[in-house]
Amino acid sequence: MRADTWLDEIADLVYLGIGDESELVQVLARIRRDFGAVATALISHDFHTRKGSWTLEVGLDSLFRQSYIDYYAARNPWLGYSPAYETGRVHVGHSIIPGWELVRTEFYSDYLRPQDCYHRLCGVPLRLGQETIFLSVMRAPGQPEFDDRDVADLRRLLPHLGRALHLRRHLLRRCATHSALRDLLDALPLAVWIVDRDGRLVTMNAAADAQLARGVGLRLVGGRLVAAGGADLGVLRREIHAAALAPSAGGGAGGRVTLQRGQGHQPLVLHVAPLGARTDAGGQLAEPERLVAIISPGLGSDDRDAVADLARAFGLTQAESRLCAQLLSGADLAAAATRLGVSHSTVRTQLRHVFAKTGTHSQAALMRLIGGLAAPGLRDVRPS
Amino acid sequence: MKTLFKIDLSKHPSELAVKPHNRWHPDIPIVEWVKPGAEFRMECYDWTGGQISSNDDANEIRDVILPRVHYLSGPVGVEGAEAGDLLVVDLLDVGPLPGSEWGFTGIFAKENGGGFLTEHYPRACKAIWDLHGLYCTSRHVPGVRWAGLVHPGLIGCLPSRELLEKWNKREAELIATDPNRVPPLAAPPQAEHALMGQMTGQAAGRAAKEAARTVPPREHGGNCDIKNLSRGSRVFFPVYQKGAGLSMGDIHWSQGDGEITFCGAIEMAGWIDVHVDIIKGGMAKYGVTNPIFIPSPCEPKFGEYLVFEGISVDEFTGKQYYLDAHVAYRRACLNAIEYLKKFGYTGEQAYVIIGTAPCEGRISGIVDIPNACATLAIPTGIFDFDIRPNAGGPVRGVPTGTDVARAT
Repeated sequence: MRADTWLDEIADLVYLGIGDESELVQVLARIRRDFGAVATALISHDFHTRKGSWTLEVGLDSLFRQSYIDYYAARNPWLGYSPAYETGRVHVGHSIIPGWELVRTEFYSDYLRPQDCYHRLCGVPLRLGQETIFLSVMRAPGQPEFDDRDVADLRRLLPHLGRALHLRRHLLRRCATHSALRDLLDALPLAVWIVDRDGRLVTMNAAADAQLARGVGLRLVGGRLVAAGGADLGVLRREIHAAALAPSAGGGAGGRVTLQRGQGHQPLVLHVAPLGARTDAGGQLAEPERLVAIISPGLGSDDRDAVADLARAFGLTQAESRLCAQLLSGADLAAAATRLGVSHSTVRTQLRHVFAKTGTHSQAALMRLIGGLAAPGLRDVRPS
Repeated sequence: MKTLFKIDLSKHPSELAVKPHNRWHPDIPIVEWVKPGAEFRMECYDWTGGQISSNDDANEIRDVILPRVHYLSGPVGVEGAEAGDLLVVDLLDVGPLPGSEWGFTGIFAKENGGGFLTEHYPRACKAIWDLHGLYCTSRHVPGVRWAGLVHPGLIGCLPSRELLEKWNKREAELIATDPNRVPPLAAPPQAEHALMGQMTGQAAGRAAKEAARTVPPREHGGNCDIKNLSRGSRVFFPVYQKGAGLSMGDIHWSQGDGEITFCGAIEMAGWIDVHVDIIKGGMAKYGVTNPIFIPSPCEPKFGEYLVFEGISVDEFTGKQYYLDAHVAYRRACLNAIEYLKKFGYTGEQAYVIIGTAPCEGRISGIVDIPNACATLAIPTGIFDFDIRPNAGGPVRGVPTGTDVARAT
């Protein structure tokens, strides 16, 4: 029934199952076939709460899935002896409850029998905290009992299955975290790109994608994120490189880059921050490479809100706020004075007051501050 | 003749100092050791341990607690007997206990054991028989009288542990195919109501959980219900356990082949006189794994039988079964009952007659596809009237108004 190469063949399938549930289903189907069984199932059980459920199954009737969770998991007589469920152990059903007792149970008559299950071979590939994962291989009444060879073969398979399930759990947890972070990034009104030290795009969120599509400030050239304006090319590249080489990620590391967008447009202020190491770059055994996040306020942000926030945060007067709005819209000091209908010396005085109140010393620094305020996710950096 | 096992009909079996047992288990202690060549008497309860009385109340049959049966006297150890030997048992004589010369027949309810024809006769009924020396009659089944063919329905030796496990495994596997069937496919071990002889305490409790019920015949003999394993016969039992551990009970005054009403014989309490001997290594010498026996030289003599044939075709559906002797014998029995009803018997009375009278059941043909042919031969001499067919048609021979006792 099972050739000498059986274990090698099925172990290959088992490891494919780490990343692909359908491969694990194939493993169960293969075990069912090779053990001449009617059903195989991976079942999880908590011996403290006596709750359990099917994880994956082949040959069981899905009509019984819910009743197992709600009722039979707590009444499964095979689960009455928990020492049999240590990792790596294999047992046959009648070693826990003899057949003549099993057939008298409700579990048999109303759950197993309708699914044509009677003989059982069980192995425990994995225990995780209170949760025990076991593999049940079932034969019908009238089929032969599982013998010593069945037990030995399943015992040899268990370490492989245990490792694969463990890695799969780990991977699924990572995927879930990744997916949540991805959703969070997409929900932010910020554009976020993540690049490597050479500016090669690793990933970006929806807002970043939209911003690239509109060609605002940044574009992709040969897979690298570069400033759309030629004069700023070097600035962004240097800032990315500096962030990638920063000794530690997070903690306020990184800098800001202001990209000019031409007459009539406010400059684009980007926050360039070092992130954690990327482990999938290059060959599998390559040195981990620091990644860099580039964060832009995004196109949806409202500059007027940002100016209002600035005014509230730093106690600017209405005149000082109006000046800031003019500067933010790309006007220089002379143009702002003309547009506001005041003298050049008045706006210079107002600007000095703004510098004093905000703790800045240049228009560029002021613009970066306002740009930061326009990015809701960064507002927490404001001084209280 | 020394009485090795004494009973007291005024007491429940569990109240005796030396208790019977109603399960098979290798650890049930030997109650007495004898040497090969010994002769001794064993007193036995009726199979139910006294649950049935000599009255017209058939509710007793309806309410029999089946996990209590069968109460067996023994086990007797035979010195020198070892696994692989044959235990030679001469049934020197069998009879009713003095003062208890009566017996009973029950048709068991479908929900409580059933019987061979339970689909036709699903309700509990009872017939009481009076024993008159060699002969028996019944107020519930008039018009018949015959000489008894007295025999233990159940006799055999203790199983080994290995044999017990084999029984439990295979019977559980059968039950597993239809665990909710009524009547059940087999009777699995049941600790409740188990009486483990002289075992006590936790050991008895543990053994009772796995001890085999006494219902079916098995390799060691047991509940074979063979009417011709009667007084005067010599039985050779395979020995599976040191000392053999011979036990017996379920005495029948008489029975038809098949004991078809389930409690189909004339059941009684009584005694069995036994002589034992050993054939060392007899199982291998003769290739024996199940008992073999030589019937008695003394059996009731009948010169004529009326024989009913049956074939393996279902009476309800008309479905053809392939060489199925069970179906064929059922049809033969049903044919006999329908015939006897023409003489005034109720179906239940006729059912009781063919279950208790020494009728011969045979597998007559088992190769003629697709039908097995089974026959049931009723001795015509047991009736007070002529039951043979003739041109004039059947003449009612049974007084009107008589019937078996029926459960409410």
